[in-house]
Amino acid sequence: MKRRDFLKHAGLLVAGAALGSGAGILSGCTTPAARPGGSKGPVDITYWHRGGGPAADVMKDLQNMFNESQSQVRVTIEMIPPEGVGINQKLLSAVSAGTPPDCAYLDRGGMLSSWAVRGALVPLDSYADADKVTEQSYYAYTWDQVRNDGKLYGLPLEANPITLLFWRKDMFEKAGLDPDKVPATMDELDVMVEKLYKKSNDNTYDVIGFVPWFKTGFMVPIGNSFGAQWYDRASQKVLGNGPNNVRALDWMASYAKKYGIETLSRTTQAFGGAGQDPFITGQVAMITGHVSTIANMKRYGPDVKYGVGMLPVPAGGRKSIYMAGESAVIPKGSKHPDEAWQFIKWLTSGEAIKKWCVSMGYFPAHTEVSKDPVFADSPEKQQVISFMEHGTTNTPMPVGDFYWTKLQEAVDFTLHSKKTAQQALDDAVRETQERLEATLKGQ
Amino acid sequence: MRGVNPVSWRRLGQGLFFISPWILGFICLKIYPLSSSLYYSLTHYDILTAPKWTGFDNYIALTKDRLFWQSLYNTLYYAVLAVPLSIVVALALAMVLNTRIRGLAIFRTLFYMPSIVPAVAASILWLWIFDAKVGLLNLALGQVGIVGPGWLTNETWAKPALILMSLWASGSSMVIFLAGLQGIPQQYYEAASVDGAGRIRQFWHVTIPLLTPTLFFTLVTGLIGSVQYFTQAYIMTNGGPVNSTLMYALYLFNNAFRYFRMGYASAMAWILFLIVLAATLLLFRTSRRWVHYEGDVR
Repeated sequence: MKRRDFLKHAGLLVAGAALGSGAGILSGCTTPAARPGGSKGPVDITYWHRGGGPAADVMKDLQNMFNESQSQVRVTIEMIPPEGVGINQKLLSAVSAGTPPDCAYLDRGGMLSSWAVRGALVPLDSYADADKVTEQSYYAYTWDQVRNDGKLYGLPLEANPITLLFWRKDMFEKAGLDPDKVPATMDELDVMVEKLYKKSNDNTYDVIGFVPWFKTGFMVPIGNSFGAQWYDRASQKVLGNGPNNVRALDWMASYAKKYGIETLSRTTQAFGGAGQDPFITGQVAMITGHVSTIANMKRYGPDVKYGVGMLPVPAGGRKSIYMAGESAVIPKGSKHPDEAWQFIKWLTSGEAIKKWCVSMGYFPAHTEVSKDPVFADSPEKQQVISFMEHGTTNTPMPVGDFYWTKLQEAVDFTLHSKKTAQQALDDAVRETQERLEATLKGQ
Repeated sequence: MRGVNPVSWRRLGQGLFFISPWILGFICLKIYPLSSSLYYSLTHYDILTAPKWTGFDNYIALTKDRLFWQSLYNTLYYAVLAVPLSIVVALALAMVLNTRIRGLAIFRTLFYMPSIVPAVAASILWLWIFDAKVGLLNLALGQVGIVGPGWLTNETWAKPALILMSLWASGSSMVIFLAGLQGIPQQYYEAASVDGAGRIRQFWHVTIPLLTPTLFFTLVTGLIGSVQYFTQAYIMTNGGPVNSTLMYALYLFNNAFRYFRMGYASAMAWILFLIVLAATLLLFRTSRRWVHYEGDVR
């Protein structure tokens, strides 16, 4: 009897302790309740930034900058791991669970409109009107991308050209080409590229002249140079299989046919990043690249002589530089939207965005900040600025990431000769239209 | 229950109380997610807004989805090849390690270690091994004069590459087979050799029959595990090239978290469950014919 009683009482004690500490841990897991602003201390907010490495260091500095600049709001910046295109699992789960951060970093071209259409973001119009943040404050196309259905859902951070053309001047000279001449048409480009390719004897290339789909040669940027249309907002029709779109994909596929998709894939597979970037190591003579390539070249390949230009203009096409960037949003369920607005307004303007862009090699979306001479302090940067008047972009739509994925799938299939360009784009458009209509119906 | 007397009720209560942590965990972490998933599979659910009931729409839509069939094919291709091959490799290793050689424990550990390398680390490692130009595999093939294929960038060779990678991690099955081998009484081998059986006949007529319970176990668990293959495909190829490595679980993941189709993904999950359930039941039914449990009277 005695032992059983003892065991019973010990068991109850342990269970009680376990429940008690469990409850304590659970309550500790939620974000600490902030004291209401205006009374004793500052309001604590959290901002989730996607990225790692150098971005984390810059964000830490920005966190200190913000917290020291005023005392009403104290921000904690948490870095969350970058995932694939169109995936932000952590933020999605947090919003759905009702415990999102107060503000977050979200891809602007694809994800913002998908999230806004599903009611996952807090509309910011009242805040913007009160603080006189208007479409004059930011580049027009970036402003367009953070709006959905007439409402404002985020503030743009960067206005980054992502499909610039870079070429190695020294390799041009060696191949007998004029190092300062940008190819003006696609045909010129094709001819120049041929001289730059060098095959090796194990079914790979020692030097690749140019691969259109490598790095930032996505379907949409290249298509834009060919004059392609992607989406009509008025009729909500997906347009990706028009004649210009097909010509663009055919041009890309011509490289796969001419130089062998197998041989090219075998070669590009081993390409590294940073200091091992194939453009720096001389494995690729011409490459499309993000504007941050300029900063990377300065850091990892300062002695490399290279040129920066726009993609050449195909017959019947147009000058185009594809632009992208991210935004700062306030997710639905944010506990301190007012303070979150203060932070994201600070982050996307003034010294904050300047520091972010300078450290990462980006261009700011804020019109005033972009006029700062630091963004034009090298001939390469000045050239890029001159290109930006030809900026084109992704039309935001409710299934933007699905569409982008389908287009890249179309490219994959066409390059591997599994479908013709027309077939591949037809399929992508049809599937996206289905998805779009289902989404608009609330499915 | 033995009787309706108060003592046995109290015993039951005490028993339940002592396993209550497990019951709580089971309900919260297994029963609740399972039933939620079943519910969501009958709805359109984009995670951010409330689920909308649609009955079996998701299931019907799946049958018309070419990527569903493609991913199912890819996964079954992988499972049907990887599971038997890994059993063969694991058994071969176990037989080699079942001899009385010096340093046996070291070799056993070395062969076992790959199976505990985290999947993400292994994926990065094998991305380099499979590299067409500078990877170890093609360098080795090059030594014997073979120009290796593009492996992960080649649509024909991508799945075989993943299967090859999974064979590297056969260590965990090997350890189980080793235990099984060591559980075979020596007298059977003695009796067989007295009857004039050579090594090979001994293998087929003593070792294999007495190993069938272990083989059966490895087959069933291997099947269940292999149809859920995800991490390596997500990290190494993301389903490419041309969807040749789009595994079922990867397509499910994309639907759930990239395309806002959690209901659709849940339906995919339940279909997979039914497939695996059917296959497992079939294996169990047919096992009576070939699995010999020691001590069975036939």
